Amino acid sequence: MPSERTVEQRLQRLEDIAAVRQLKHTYAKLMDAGLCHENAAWPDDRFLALFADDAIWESNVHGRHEGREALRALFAGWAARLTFAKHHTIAPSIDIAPSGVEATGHWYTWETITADGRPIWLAATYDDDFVKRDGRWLIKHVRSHIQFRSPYHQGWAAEAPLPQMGE
Amino acid sequence: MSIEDRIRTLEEIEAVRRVLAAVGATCDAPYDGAAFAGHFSEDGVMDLMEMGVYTGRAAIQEFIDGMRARVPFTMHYWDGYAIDIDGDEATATWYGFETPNLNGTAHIGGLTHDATLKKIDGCWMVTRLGQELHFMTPYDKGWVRQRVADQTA
Repeated sequence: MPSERTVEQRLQRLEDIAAVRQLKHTYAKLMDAGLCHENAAWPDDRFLALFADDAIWESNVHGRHEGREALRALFAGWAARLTFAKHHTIAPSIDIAPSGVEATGHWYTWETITADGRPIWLAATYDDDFVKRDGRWLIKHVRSHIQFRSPYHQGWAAEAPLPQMGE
Repeated sequence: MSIEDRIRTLEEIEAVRRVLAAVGATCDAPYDGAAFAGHFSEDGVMDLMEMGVYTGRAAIQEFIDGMRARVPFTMHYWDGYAIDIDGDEATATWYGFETPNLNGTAHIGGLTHDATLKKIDGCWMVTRLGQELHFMTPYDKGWVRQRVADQTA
């Protein structure tokens, strides 16, 4: 941390890291709550309000989706297929940009999912961007790098490698 | 909020995280019921839903020490904490994976937890610990074939 930063700036940075960490936790909790209860109304406005209006959600498996309505359609599609999900999202590494209104974050996630009635293991990392608007941190860009998405009883060694982002 | 208060909030978040980590570690095999219960207030409550509600340190310690006979091994992989501080009170939610040996069979469990804490005599004490069990399945079955195994046998 450069020494020319004031105590106020250093404190603000720590508070922003805590806020971004909390935001990602809320993303996981609301996603799991929505998918667990076969809620036809999901994604609801509370979940979508975590995202900036121009947010992007992309992964090497699910493609790229831009804008809140595209995200709504993406997540509604998951709700039609998934009856259970648990995003165990850990090991946050968060950087706040010098501007104080942009941030990046990296997480590991270990997901247990029931898709089309079958149990699935899913391992992925997140490389996400965040933006602070009107004093509130929002998700700007989710990049989910899925490493495997394997049937429970088959395991991940038998699965063909997934394409990487951009392939 | 003053700088002093803002720093205190960050310090308290970290302090609560450390208490919860200690709680998780002491309910891993080989289990330390006294240490586990020592993180609770005198009238603390542990609500394990289908596994019972335990009120007070003595009841909580007895339950945890009894794990040695019922569950010879488990580990609690707790992470993904969200902690809010409000003065001398705190709330927390987090995710957990567990790997118990139940009745001689390897199981895998997925849970979310929640807690309320109160700062008493300068120490964060758990006043309530709760959990929601999403699955606890024999390893060879998975959560679709058997979402929740009998943990009381």
